[in-house]
Amino acid sequence: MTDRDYYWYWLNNIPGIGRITMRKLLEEFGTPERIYRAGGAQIESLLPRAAQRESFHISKDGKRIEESYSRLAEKNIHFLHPDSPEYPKRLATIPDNPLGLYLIGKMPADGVKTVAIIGTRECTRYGSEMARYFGRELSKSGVAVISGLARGVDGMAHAGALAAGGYTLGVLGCGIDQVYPRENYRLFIDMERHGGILSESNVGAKMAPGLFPERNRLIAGMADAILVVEARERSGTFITVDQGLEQGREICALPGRVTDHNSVGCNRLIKMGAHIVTEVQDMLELLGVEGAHLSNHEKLPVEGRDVQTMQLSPTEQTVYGCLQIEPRYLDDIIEELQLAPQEVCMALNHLAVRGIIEEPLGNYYAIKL
Amino acid sequence: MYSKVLSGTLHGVEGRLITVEADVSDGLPVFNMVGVLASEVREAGDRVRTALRNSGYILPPKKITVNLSPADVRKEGAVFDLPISIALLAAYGYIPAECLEGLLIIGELSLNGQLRPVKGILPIADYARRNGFAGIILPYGNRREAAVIPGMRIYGAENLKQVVDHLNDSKRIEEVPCIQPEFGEKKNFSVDFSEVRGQMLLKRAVEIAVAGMHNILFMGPPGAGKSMIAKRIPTIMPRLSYEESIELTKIYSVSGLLEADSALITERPFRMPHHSVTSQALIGGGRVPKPGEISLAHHGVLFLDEFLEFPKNVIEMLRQPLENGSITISRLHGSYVYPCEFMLVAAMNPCPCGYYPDKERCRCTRPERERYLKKLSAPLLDRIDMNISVKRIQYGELYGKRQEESSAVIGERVAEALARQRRRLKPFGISFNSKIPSNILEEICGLGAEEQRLWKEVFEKYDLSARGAARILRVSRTIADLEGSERVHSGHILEALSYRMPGFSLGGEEG
Repeated sequence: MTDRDYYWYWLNNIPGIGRITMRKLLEEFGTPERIYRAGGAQIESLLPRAAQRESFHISKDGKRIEESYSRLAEKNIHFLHPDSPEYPKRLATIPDNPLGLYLIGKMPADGVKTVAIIGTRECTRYGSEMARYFGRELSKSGVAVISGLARGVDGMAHAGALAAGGYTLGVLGCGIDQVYPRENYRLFIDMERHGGILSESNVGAKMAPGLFPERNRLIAGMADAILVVEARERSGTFITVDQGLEQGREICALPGRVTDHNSVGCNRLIKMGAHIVTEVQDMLELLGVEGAHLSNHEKLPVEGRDVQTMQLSPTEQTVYGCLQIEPRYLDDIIEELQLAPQEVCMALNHLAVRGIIEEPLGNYYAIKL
Repeated sequence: MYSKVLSGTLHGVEGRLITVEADVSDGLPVFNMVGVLASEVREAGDRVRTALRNSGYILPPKKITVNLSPADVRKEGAVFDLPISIALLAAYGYIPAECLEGLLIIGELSLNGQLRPVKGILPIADYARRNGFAGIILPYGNRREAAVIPGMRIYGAENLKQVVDHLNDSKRIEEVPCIQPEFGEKKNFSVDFSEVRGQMLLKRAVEIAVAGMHNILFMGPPGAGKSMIAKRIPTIMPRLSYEESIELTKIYSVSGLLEADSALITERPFRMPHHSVTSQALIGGGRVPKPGEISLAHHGVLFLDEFLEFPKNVIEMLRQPLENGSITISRLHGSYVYPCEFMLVAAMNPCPCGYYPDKERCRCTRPERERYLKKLSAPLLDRIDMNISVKRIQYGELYGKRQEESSAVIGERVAEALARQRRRLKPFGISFNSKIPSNILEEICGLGAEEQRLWKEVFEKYDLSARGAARILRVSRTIADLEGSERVHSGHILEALSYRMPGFSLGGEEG
């Protein structure tokens, strides 16, 4: 812990003093060290509330600060501040840049292109499969995937990147040690090992709705381009997009059917001028990744395109024709085809065993993506 | 003078002989009853003396001793009123002792000498026949229940006087003709499968489950028709055989659940205990153990709706009965064995709110679902061969004008499949595919080379456990039986995959 780390860490952890006050103090004094050493009257004029003044003075407890800092080290959490060498250059230039960051794992290496893959938490299977697909394929080209470790699109984008063995960074709104949502616990563990988790809040800070926009500012800040996979008409995703526009990031969106609830937001972005992305190459060319034309990528699966080349029995072809991206209930298929249940079961399971279709849920079938 | 009357009591669902002796001698006039008597038997003394006087029999004051033997068996219930009265009358010389030979006497008395029906007559009558009794005298209300046992004279008496006149030969009671229950005729159920619109998959699954007596679990949201289907399962089960019917009627007789004046139970039971049921009510128990719901569902269906709402300890108690087909209950006065070969049909919601995977309605998180489903233990799930997801019915399906198959048609196919497997499994001492032990499973399925190849592929694809694989094979065997096939073919295995339990702890979600 250098002196600079000490003063920055202290400044970032004074109860009741937020980024706005911190910036005001920094403007006045220049460095955290000078704030620390500043005399009473001068400081007190800048801190209007009595509670702030009190906690400011109490917080200057060297032993407590050092203890708290070393506890972070025990948990393999790094503290970054604008003066530290690891502080991401991308964030240094954004408006209202963070003055303190907590990191588990690594930051993306210098020169690596980054894409934020974002979208609604209540995504469809199409959304989650697309997030996973783009996460995976971008990762194969060495692009770092940034997202918010949330339910839905976020989590799937991370999972896709990890599956390809790539680097991925999750940005949290809550404290760096909080696993939220709980269901992503396994993902958290994997990302700590193979990627990074970043937060502006120290350990213990609970999730609060007001923190999401703060986090989205960082996601946009860390990304060279933002890819929106699925978004409804009103969505938190637009906060990220707005921040991204302010910060000069490229905005991209996957087009969707105009009738799809979950694609209304994407289509609106496209109408307003976002890049249309229909394949990985689109993203790579936009980012200027070298060798973008080389296609070592899996082709985006298109419904029913390859069925002709696979040897399917007539019943299997009929059954396959009924399937969609969204899982369909077995009995609905039986009902639609008016075939005997055993025939449909046989055909579906035969397709599933051969890996042509998937059963994402018991008795629900969908075409493979 | 000494006299002896034979009577019977219950031990579990079996009858047991009790000898009632009476001795009348000179001495201080007392009335003594001995032989490990419960308080209701001890009270019989008062009932008997009053009933005798009100029936016109005077007992001069003498020293009276009544003994119920064997002395080490606790006697319970009011069934000994009549045998005690007859023993006394014989001891006083109202009735000649010889006429009591080969007769079993049973019944409860009211103070005016009327005979009241008692429970548990069928097991006692069955016991009497097997032990060479020529006849049985019992309350009039019980006569039909006993009359299903052939080869014995059954006398149903309305009051004490009739019994005495009968034994004195002054006025014989008319013998109850033996009842031949009609097992061929199909009884009319109030429900039928043809009333279920759509739900083809579910109906097919139920047909397979019944055809192999596989336990089955329905998973689906409220209002999907789970209970509706379950209630119709008995309508496609084969008719009870005479032996099965006797076994079942014995259980109901012991529980006092036989309707008045009924003979044998000829319909398979459908029991649907509420999830507030206690373990004793479900499994059987009490100070004097009574059969529980699982025994009342013997040879029939035990339907547990809202399976996960049952207390965990209660559900877990099903393990041993599901395995053995009987339950042993040990209490202070002995241990009792009740048969309970039932088909378990369980229904549950896939998540706490019930609507998963309908994302419009379900707000449950994955950990919430996992926690919810974790209430079911692996050992219990191992005993459930089939699992099927159910979805809410669409409006069109509910009111579609389509001819649905009737229970009779489905029942015929089921009966054939059951007969086929019974023949095949006879050498192994089992009757149903669901009971095939895993070590002989592959032999019984007779997989050919092509099937072996597919089976290996399936095994790897779904990462099956040994038990999970065995469950799929058993169901495949039943599907083959329904089709009349001696060997299990690829198609049968493929269909069975639809009824497996995929990644159960996640509510069916894989990965």
